[in-house]
Amino acid sequence: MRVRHGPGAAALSVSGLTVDYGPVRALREVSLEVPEGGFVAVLGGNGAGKSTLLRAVSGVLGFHGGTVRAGDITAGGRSLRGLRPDQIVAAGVVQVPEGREVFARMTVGENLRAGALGVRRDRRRTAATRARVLELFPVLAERDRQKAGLLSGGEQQMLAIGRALMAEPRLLLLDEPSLGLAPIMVERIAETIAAINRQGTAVLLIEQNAALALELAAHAYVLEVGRVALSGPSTELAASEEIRRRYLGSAGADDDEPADVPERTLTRWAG
Amino acid sequence: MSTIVEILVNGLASGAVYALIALGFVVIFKATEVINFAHTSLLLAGGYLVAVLHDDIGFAGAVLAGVAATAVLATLVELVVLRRVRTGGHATLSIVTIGVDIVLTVELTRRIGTEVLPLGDPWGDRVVRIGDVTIAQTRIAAFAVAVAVIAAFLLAFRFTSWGVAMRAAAENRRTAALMGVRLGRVSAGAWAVAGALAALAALFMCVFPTPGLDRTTSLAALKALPAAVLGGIDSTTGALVGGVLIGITEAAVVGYQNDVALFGGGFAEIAPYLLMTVVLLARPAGLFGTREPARV
Ligand SMILES: Nc1ncnc2c1ncn2[C@@H]1O[C@H](COP(=O)(O)OP(=O)(O)OP(=O)(O)O)[C@@H](O)[C@H]1O
Ligand SMILES: [Mg+2]
Repeated sequence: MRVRHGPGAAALSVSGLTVDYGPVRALREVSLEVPEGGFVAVLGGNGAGKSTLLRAVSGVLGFHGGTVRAGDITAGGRSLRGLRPDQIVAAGVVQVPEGREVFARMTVGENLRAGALGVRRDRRRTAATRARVLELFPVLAERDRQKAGLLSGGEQQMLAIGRALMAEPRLLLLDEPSLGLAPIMVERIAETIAAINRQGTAVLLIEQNAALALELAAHAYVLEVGRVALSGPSTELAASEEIRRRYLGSAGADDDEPADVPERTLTRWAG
Repeated sequence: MSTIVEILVNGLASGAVYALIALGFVVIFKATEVINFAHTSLLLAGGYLVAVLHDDIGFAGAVLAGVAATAVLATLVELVVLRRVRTGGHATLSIVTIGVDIVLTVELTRRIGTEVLPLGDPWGDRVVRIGDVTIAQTRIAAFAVAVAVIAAFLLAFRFTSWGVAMRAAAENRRTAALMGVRLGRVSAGAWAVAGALAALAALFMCVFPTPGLDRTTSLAALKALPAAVLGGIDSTTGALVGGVLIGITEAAVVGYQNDVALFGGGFAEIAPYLLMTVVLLARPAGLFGTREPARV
């Protein structure tokens, strides 16, 4: 059963989000928006706060000793702040965590089953969802009875995505799915994510691979030391001098700018 | 020859009962990473309920009521006590269960006093003779029931949504939460299952040749803790193997006690702990475990 929401309500809207880990401030007044069915990317270097953003959305900051200090997070017009992780999953917001985190001691089939635990559905619907996931990742069907820990890195990433899809998310959160994968596998995963989005699921993609993210997403944000430093349509960002220099590694500029860049918005679309 | 067979049969029967108790330790540890030191006093509570109820509602009714009530009591301990101490780590919570154990034990020993309470079981001291081997009916019942219950548990653990949620949470609590697993429910469910298993085990610990339930029953049940630890505190297989190992060791020591008059005949009491120590020296995580219980 899908959660009903008003027309025009964004799949995800984050406003003024500030997050601390004890004395460490990891996010400062971050605002961003993923339109219904949209595809948005968040770029940023190590420690920029990308994973923290997703932890806050999924309600699992507590596992890391973090807390939301200020701001609001809404999905389809409904506030997620203060909800338990299972309630957030039930609201249609599901995460594929950084480093895949498949349940290594469980079989591939059981991992997919675990992905459906957050949504109470009848057997037939779960079976249909599973069939769709296996169509997307046929290799998972072949490995159904195998322990997930024995899969290759790429297969584990497919399983992690497939597992999240078992909950039939309205918004899929992906934390660096290309991490540690060979280029050909990155391409496979990228195509699949694009296909998932075409089928109507909104996607928030976290990436350090800026070229990949800007190619896939319609809109992108750049996080730097916990702030949104830059945002705009992917095409504009890809063309911007700053992005090319910092994230796309284009030649021509070799001056090292300090990390603290004031927020600049390239569009009227700023959230 | 008949001695060895009797030792094996008796060891297997009491081992199956220890396995029931050890499984309770393991289930709670897997779900919450807490070692439940109140487990044996919950067991005592279950046995006590069967003892006081069987006159009024019959043996079968008393067992059902005792098992259900102990499951509820264990769940209440989880909900009312452990959930409120969320600030502490797993080590703190384990220590909190020692407090719960003391409270329960004090109240139960006050009620039991110095009495030995019969549980009203239908087997009495009847025995079955096969050749020159003599086996008490209670041992056969204990073995049969324990095996059936353990099999049902393992099937549920493997194939039901409850089992998948439990195993997911055991492997990675945060990721399980990201999948929408309700960790609170997993934890409460684990306590309920452990409580039910403990009450059932209490029954078989207090029948022939044991005269009945007394206040030391929980002490006898505590031998299942070395069983769980030596098998691997996070392994269900380990609980079963550990339970049987402890059962057979104990039966063997009792059987040959007169030949090896160590520790003034009290060797049977310490044999389980000795066995555990030896196993842990060789394998710190236990035979089938992946984690050392001391890990915080
Ligand atoms: N559990 C934690 N406790 C304390 N500080 C943390 C914790 N997790 C992250 N941080 C800090 O918060 C900041 C943001 O971390 P985060 O993991 O969100 O970065 P990231 O953008 O995901 O980095 P990466 O690309 O390396 O994954 C960093 O400065 C990090 O040191
Ligand atoms: Mg990260």
